[in-house]
Amino acid sequence: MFKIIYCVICSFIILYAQNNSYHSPENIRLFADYLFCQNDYLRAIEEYKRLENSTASDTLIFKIGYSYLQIKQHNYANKYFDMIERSSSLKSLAVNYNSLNFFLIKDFSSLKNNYRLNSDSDLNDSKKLLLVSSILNENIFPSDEQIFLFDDSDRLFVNDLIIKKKYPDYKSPTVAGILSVIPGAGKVYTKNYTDGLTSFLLTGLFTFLAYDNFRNSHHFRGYIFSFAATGFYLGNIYGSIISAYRYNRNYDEKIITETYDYLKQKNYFIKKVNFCE
Amino acid sequence: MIRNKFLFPLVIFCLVQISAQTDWVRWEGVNNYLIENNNDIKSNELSSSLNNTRISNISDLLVKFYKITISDFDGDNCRFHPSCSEFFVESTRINSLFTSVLLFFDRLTRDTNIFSSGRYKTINNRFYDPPSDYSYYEKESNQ
Amino acid sequence: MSKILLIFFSISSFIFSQNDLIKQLDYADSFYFHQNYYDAITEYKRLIFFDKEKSFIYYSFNQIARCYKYARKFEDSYNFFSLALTEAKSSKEIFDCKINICRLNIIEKKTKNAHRILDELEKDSLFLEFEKEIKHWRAWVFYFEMDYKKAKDIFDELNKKELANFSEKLLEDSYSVQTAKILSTILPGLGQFYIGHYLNGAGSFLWNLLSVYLTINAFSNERIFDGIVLSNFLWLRFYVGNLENAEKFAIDKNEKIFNESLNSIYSNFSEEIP
Repeated sequence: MFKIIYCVICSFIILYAQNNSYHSPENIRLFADYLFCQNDYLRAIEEYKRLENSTASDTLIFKIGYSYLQIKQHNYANKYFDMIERSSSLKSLAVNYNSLNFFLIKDFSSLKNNYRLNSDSDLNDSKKLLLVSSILNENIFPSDEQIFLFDDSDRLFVNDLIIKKKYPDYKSPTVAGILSVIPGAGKVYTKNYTDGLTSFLLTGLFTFLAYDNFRNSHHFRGYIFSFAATGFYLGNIYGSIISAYRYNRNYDEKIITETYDYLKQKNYFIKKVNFCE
Repeated sequence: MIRNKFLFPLVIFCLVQISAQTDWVRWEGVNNYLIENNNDIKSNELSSSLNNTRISNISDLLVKFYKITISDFDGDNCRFHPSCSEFFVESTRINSLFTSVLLFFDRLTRDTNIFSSGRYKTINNRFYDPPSDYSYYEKESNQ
Repeated sequence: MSKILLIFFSISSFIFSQNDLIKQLDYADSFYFHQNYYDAITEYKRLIFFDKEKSFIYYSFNQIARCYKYARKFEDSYNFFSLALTEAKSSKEIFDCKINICRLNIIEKKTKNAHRILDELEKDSLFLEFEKEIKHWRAWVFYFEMDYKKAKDIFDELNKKELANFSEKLLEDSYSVQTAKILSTILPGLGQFYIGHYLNGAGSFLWNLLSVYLTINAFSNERIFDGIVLSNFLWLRFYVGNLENAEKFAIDKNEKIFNESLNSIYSNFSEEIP
């Protein structure tokens, strides 16, 4: 009798110890959630993946996708968001986050596709992202009805963005080139005021030096100075044209960064999920 | 036990730091942790294009000659990175010679202009101003 | 009988749960010793997570910090040593943490911070017994400041002959920036000669000679404007360039010597280095 009890206890203890091991599925999940909430995403992914075969659930897959999104592994994030079943309650969230994924890598066509393929779920958030990115990339502007999708504060921003894209403050390279017949005027036109002034002074100085030396019949020096003067003059014309191109490019870039900064504050219009309470 | 008066802010700081981890790619230990790895991108970007110029055309030859005979002796005069002569060499790689000369004069204008400082990014206390910024077409990497 | 069994059961389960922690500790350590630092950190974090009694938390934080250090991720390393400091119980543990933070500062050449930490430790009456160790690290701070003389003196005082000899050798090898500059001020190119850049020194000398000649020539022919232009744009430029070069070469050379020394430090004195 005693022996039997002893055996039972022993086996129980062994079993107990095994259960208590930190590498059991339940413990791995606990630990992975802890890592996930500590923003230690790569380690969390590795832990979740150990569970993937035994107990794969939608939440788990979503968390892996979310982690990949956070560590900017956009391809993997896309793969995991796509894996979530259509019937799942997390589906619309996953599609929205997948849209965000494409928005962040500026893959506009995939963003569209993603929206079209999943049109049966609740995709207001994705729709907003799609509208913004079509303003940015294709200059297609939303109708008044579509603008009312956005909240009040967001609507202000979107209207502002539309105005900026519809009537851009571009500088024409041709005008810049023609203006810079007067040295520096082209640069002033593209708002590089001090560069314009310097260009005017330098060209003037070297022209004067060339003229002065020719008058005093220092021909060699005269040639050198006139070469420099010509160089500065032509360089000023070419530089002004380029400066206009640069101005336009900076204008576009500025709009894009402003938009992304604003959207980042708003979590890209997507409902926040909180797994760490 | 001794408690440092900085301990509390330190702990708060650390907690914030830990919640913002950077362990988002796998990494490995370094062989000799005392020595900084020289292969990082920053030093690559800063290495002078003049020092490893292969002479393929006449402008390279001129620039190399300038480098050996004058530039090595006249001190550090350029506020920009790449310096004016390096700018010219790099420009000839992507533009024609004539265009490069024009861009070079344009660059000299910018170098003379002592008031322009806000517009540029700085690397190692120099204004970063590469020739690839001065072309018609879009830059290849749009990131 | 049943009471005994119950006690037996609870004790053994307690032991086994403790055993789990130790198993986990060994597991993490095995990664650490095989220099698989990334995974080691994961396992130490697992240990911290399941260690409700906080019996291994100080050790784990310390080890994580070390892992980061060996991967040159000093920012993270610093954070975890600081965390370990909050968990430190005895004065020995507190001292270790602070010294480790100091060592990170030394490697990163933030010598001011390192000095400050050592000053604090020195003033503290709690750490009187570690006086020698503080001095040892002070020497290393001087070493990383390239003040080899002071480093050598302290190593001598601590009777660490090999390290003292090593610093002395570096002291002999390195060049004085001040001397190079003064030499170049007196005669352009001389500073470069002193450091061993003969070609550059000769070039500097020739350019200065030429520009001085041209300047004097212009003034003596009463071409004042030319003289001013030449002296400003030619002579001054090369003279200043010569000074800058002398300084730059000296600093570069010293850096090079220092960096080379780090390699041999790492292979020769693996125990007592920062």
